[in-house]
Amino acid sequence: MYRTSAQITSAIQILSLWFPNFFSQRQLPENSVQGQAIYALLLRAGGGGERRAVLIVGGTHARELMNPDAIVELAIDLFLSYVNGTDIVYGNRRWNADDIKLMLESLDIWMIPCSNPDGRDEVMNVDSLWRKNMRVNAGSTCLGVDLNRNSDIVWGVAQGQTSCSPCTDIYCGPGAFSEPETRNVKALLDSASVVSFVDVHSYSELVLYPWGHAPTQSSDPSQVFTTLPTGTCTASVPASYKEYMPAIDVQRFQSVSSQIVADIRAVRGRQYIPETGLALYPTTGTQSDYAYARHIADPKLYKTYGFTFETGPLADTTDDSFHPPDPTLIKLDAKAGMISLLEQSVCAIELIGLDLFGSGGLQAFRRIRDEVLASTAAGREWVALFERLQFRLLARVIASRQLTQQAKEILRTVGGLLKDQGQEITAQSARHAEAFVRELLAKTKDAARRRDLAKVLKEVKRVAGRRVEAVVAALMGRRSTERRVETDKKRGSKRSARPRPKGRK
Amino acid sequence: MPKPRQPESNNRPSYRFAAIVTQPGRREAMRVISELGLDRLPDREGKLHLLIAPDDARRLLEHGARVELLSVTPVAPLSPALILTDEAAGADLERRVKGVPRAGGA
Repeated sequence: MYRTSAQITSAIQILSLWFPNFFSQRQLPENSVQGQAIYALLLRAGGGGERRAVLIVGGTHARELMNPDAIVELAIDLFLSYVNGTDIVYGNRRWNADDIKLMLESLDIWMIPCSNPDGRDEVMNVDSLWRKNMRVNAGSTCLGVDLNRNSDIVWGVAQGQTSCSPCTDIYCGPGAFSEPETRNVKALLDSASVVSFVDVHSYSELVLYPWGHAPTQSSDPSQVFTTLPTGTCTASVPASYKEYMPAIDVQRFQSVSSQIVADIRAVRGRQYIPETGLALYPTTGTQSDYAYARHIADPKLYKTYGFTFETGPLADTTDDSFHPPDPTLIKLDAKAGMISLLEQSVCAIELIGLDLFGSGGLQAFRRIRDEVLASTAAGREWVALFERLQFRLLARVIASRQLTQQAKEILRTVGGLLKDQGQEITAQSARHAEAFVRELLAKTKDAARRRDLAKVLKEVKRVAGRRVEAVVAALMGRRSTERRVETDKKRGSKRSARPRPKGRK
Repeated sequence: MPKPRQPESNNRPSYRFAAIVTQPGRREAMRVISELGLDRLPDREGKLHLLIAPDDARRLLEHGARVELLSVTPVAPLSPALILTDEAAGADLERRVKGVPRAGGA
């Protein structure tokens, strides 16, 4: 059974009214083309100001009925877990209450369960396979714009599954963000620090990430979508063109989507596939590509990792694929995928370090990750290891006053060392870090996590007396100047005294 | 729940087909599908799976494509049996949050 758009709006309003400490509704700036108010729901627990945010959007394509219901039900499941201290269990996948609490106390979770209420009404009252919004197109008797082709990312380039003809189901509209429904999504991306975005669609059991308009490459930053013509209404992306994405972002999209797929599979064994949007079919103007592309088009904007889910399998009929008679199990898969994304959106360093350094002070940590470690495969592997471990261990750290203090002390030390990279890591600091990792190792049973922690421990044991630069260089698989000097010393003064060949530095 | 109403657009078909384009070769078929702006359904096996109106089927044939029609769906509202009534939606929400204290004690 499916909720009407009015029932979804009503659920948002009632939850905000009944439980105002947890839910709040926000009427989005613009009404739908038929004049309906559209609402977002914000979930957060605990105090504090604005946090990193996750934005979950459903109902973009009207006929994909399951997802707006799944989003509303996820909101309630998260709330009940928080207030009752109960685990969330979907099939064979369980999230313990402490982990849910951590997500809710560290993220702003924005949901637009039904971004296209006119379309949903159309499906329920007129045409069960209606896809677009209900725009009356000037000069045409055909209705509607495809809201997942209307965003400002290579907009109006009619290749693959994008068209400039109003009579098609994939019509991109008369201009980028011509539709109030897409402008509403943009408005939320503009107003919150959205680290992860997901537009939940159906069907095919996929987790998609950028790019949709061209293959991805990480070697030529000059091939960037801002140089491509838009609004051409032809397939104007050259066949040889490949869109740039830094290797660290490729890795993050792949690792996050793989974990989402693993969490969905754990529910009841459904095997979703992670892939780029292009692997499904070529598109332009999609919401999830736009969400990620924003910070490239305008570096002042927050970087958002944008995903599209395609929930549910192909069924015997098209109707049953888009709106199966009983969507209960598919909604469990969808909700598991969304929680997985929330979990992977929490940042341990930000959570523990924010009150130590403020948001400005965390920049040094981000720089080491994004500009230094990200530049080699070995460095990126350490970033991936940290991202694998951080959420799994965070609840344990937060739950223990002693571990939290230890974590803060380590971050404080590292923060100081990053400011003055000439300083050596003291034996005492190294001992503290080693004790912290050993404590975590003692509390961890999962074999994969233990392997990761053992790898960390091995590195931590070697840091005493070294400078941060040398430690980072080692993590990147490079020999630092410091190590070269040490090696030279060991080899004796004769060699180091030898004159250098010309041209070598 | 609002009453079903009839389509207003003259261009809305009275039924649609789920179809698979089997010929010509994949690259050419994709070009034709793109040129005609047809609604390609996701298909994880990579088949060229479409949801098309009868007129789209005609245009595909005219472009030399070979089309296998899999099923036909009339353009009609969603079955009312699949739509929650307002009473049921309200009761569902009440059931889910039963026992949790509400603001104002309601």
